[in-house]
Amino acid sequence: MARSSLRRGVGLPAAFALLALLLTGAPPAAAKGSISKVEDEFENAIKKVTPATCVCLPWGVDPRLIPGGSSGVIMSRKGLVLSDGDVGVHFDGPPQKGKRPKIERSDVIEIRLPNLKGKGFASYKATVIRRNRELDTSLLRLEKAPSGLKYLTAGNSDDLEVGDFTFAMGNSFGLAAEAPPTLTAGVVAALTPGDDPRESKWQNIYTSAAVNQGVNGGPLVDIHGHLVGTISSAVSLVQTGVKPDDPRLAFAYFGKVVPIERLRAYYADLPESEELFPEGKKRDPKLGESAALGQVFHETGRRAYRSVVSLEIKRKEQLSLAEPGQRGMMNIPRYLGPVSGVLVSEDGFILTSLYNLANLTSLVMPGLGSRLPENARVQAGIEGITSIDVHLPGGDTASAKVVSRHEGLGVVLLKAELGGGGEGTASTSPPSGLVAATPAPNDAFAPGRFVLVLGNPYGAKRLDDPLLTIGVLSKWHIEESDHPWAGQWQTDAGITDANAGGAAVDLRGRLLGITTIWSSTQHGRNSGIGFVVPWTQIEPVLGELKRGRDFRPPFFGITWKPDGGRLSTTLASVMEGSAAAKAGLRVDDTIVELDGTSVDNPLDIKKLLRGKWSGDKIVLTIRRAGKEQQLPLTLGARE
Amino acid sequence: MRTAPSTTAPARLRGLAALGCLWLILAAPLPLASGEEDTAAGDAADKAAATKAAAAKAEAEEAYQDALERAEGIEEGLMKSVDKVRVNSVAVLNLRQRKPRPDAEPVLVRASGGSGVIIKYRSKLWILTNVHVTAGHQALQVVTHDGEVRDVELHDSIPEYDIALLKFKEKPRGVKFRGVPVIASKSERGLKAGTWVIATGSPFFLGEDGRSVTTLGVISGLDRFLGGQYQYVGAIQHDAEVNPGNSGGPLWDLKGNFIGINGKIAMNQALRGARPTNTGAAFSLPVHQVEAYLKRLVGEGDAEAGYLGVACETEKDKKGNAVGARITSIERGSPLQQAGRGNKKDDDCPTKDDVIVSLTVKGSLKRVYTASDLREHLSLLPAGQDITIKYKRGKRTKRYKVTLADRGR
Repeated sequence: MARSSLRRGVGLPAAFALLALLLTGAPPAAAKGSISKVEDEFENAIKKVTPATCVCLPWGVDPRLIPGGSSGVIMSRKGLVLSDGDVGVHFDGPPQKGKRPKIERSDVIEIRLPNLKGKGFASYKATVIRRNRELDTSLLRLEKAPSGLKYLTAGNSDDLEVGDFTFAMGNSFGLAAEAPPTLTAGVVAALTPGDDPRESKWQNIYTSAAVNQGVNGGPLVDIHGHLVGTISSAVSLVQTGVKPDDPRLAFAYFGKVVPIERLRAYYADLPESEELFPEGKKRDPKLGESAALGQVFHETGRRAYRSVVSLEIKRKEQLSLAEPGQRGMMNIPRYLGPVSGVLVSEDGFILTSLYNLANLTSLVMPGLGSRLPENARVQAGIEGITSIDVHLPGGDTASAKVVSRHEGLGVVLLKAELGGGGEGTASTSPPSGLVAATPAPNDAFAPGRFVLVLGNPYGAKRLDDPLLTIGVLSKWHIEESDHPWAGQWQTDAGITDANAGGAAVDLRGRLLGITTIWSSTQHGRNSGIGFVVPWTQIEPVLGELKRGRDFRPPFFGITWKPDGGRLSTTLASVMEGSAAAKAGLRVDDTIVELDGTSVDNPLDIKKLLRGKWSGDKIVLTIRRAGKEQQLPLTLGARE
Repeated sequence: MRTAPSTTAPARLRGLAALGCLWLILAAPLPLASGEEDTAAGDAADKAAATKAAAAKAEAEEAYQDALERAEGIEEGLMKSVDKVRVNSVAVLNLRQRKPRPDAEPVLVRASGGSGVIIKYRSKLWILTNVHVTAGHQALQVVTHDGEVRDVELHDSIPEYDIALLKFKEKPRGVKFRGVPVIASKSERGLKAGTWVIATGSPFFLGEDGRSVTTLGVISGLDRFLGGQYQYVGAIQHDAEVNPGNSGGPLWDLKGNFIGINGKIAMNQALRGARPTNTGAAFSLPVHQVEAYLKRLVGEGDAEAGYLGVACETEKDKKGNAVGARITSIERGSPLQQAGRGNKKDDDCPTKDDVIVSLTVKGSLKRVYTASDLREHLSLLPAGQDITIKYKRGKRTKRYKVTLADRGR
């Protein structure tokens, strides 16, 4: 690392610093993190994995009969190669009428290695020694390994922690068939406990590094460039035969990786095992710049996770994304496993996203008399809930009820019944160890600031670490707009069904806000577009939310009379029982002012009602039979 | 655990304390078991262990605080970079005439849109974007970072390579842009797989108020070729989140250098039929290509891409090394096909299965090892350019001079 820094000219200022120290005798200021060092470290790790990553194709098969192919990684000088369980898969012939081509798996494999100095690639023949489709692994040996074959050093997956940087490499989308492999970077998002901890601490590694078709079988390496696992696939919600409440779907859109320790155990009985995994490289105890960053992601994530709960919501009818009559919908089921929430006070108030409680396909749209079905769906969604179980950090489970909702912010407030002498409960005090989220400073927003998104889709089987994704703040959307994301902060951290409603925190673990999924059907649920409902917007209304006030789009219950080609502010109808009727508005009344501001058309009224919600009081000045008078009105909501 | 062995235990303890009582109970059995044997000794040992644990905990906390300070230093650098690049990113609005009602006069409305980047070239401000962002427009506007909507017009474009140059109709006043240079040299940019990149733009119109959306990623690979209506030659692949609407928007490195124009994303076959969204595989036209095109786009002369009309495959020797581009087919109406047909005795004209090994353009030799080399060289040449093709037919080496055509003619 130091050598590479010197080459990049970083050494020179360091020399000056030393000189300055000699001259003045003052100690230099503590070195602060530098992003160019992070890039140097990335480069070093990638340099190790690039020449050892290969493309694996069935030998001698027409390329048109190969659906994608696999990636692989060279693991020894003599030519042992690891790949996925489906290596060599191909069709037995082109599709013909009335006959589906059969799927075959060839054990003779063409290994392609990019020629990194010149151009093009070199091909070698290899044979499968053993394969296991369940573990999704295969071991191959090159028939004749070329001299100077580059191979990857085995690392140790037991050492991995959530938040560590990882690099995935392989032939994604077939783009690397004749070129150096594709690299994607991400963090360890989740580690699931191993079925047999003596073999491997982790059952699976889930990474936020993009995993696409063709990367399967390729290596996942740590920041030192050591192998920590082989890539299995991207977890998909459209997998056949998987129920929407299957716990595995909590990891939808993440890359699933088989930890190297499981591979080590699986191949232990082979004579090749010594050559394959000579010894796992231990983690370098000295933290480089990127490892320090990873450590912060890990430790901060774990600390802030104390306030992230898991919600199991039972309802009369299951949620679904199906919308009758809408075309071009993706056939993606709605995830129905446990969802995430954030503890905002130690007496059990929990915030989560409205998305988790209702059939919403996008953020809720605020606005006067919104005709969007979302408002009705929120109502139906909340009414359809039969029970909510909250799984608390200490391991306790409490039941919770919906207290209130804010449809403009798209959040809902729950209250967990924490005992404390309640009827029928044995305990006299609420569970200890509950820690409410600590808010970030009011001026926290800055584009480019790191965001840690913490989810808890684990239900009663809480893991030690949150489901973690990392991104940056992308943009602050202005409040003065009719977009449903008005006032929200956009982030590129992956937000999926499993972590929506969870916490977005800064590097110190302070709460930036509650995460919200974007348009869940149209744009994919991990499109790199997600939103954070800022705490700075929630905090001012939290008191009222706790008292049970719902914030819903204001609704008058009136229609407007046309005046020429447009609408006037004269009333054409007043709905019975509506806010307008209660205030005493009548047909033919003309609204001339709202809270003292004159209005000319319904659009003016709509603008003035921005930021106002059901329950808010306004004063209308109306003209009735030529006379002006004032009418106080309490805004209602569409029922 | 990632830290040195001495800090491993406290790191674990720290985590346990954080998780509350359940986990402490799980962790408790070990000291309890030792305590059963000798209570007094056990107490002393417990105290010593507690002191040791407290010291180690303090040490771990110090390590975390140090890491935190470094992480915030990295974050600070990142925010500075983002701040620097955002001012030159614009939203591009593609306006078309639509009738609000069947009987009404048509008005210009925003029909589609994308992103763009303001650059300084030959001491003038220009906006670069993709051709597919401007396609079918009747008027064009950009929204600059101050939120102003400004009228622009298409100056010129090269449809084959998806690059369009826009200019302001009126000099933009009251707003500052950085004089972003367009660096031609590939080596100067020092891009590698793993280099951090920032994409700015207006995905799904989300940057339409002029304030662009920032996403972060790393370079996944270089020199990618993507065919189709718009060819991307020597493209940069990266994993910063890119969605529809990011098209035409810039890709930056962390020093704030403009390194490419985002334009394509790879789609997952499993999700075919879905609207295209980010997959973690995005492609940018590299800035060195952009620079070559700029000279032609800005100039009064033809910007049309030179057209040879051959499809090639990489030819390899016995060792598997790439040695040239073997012609697999020649398009009808292309310069080579016309030359080959027009004079049947013209044996020197390259044909199917000949292997192109170099091009000579204005006296400079450009080696061809792979099909992508050939595509890259050709992509930089305008129509009307004379080139000499050196190729191998069997064991013989031949040369042939040809003038690149304009595909449109």
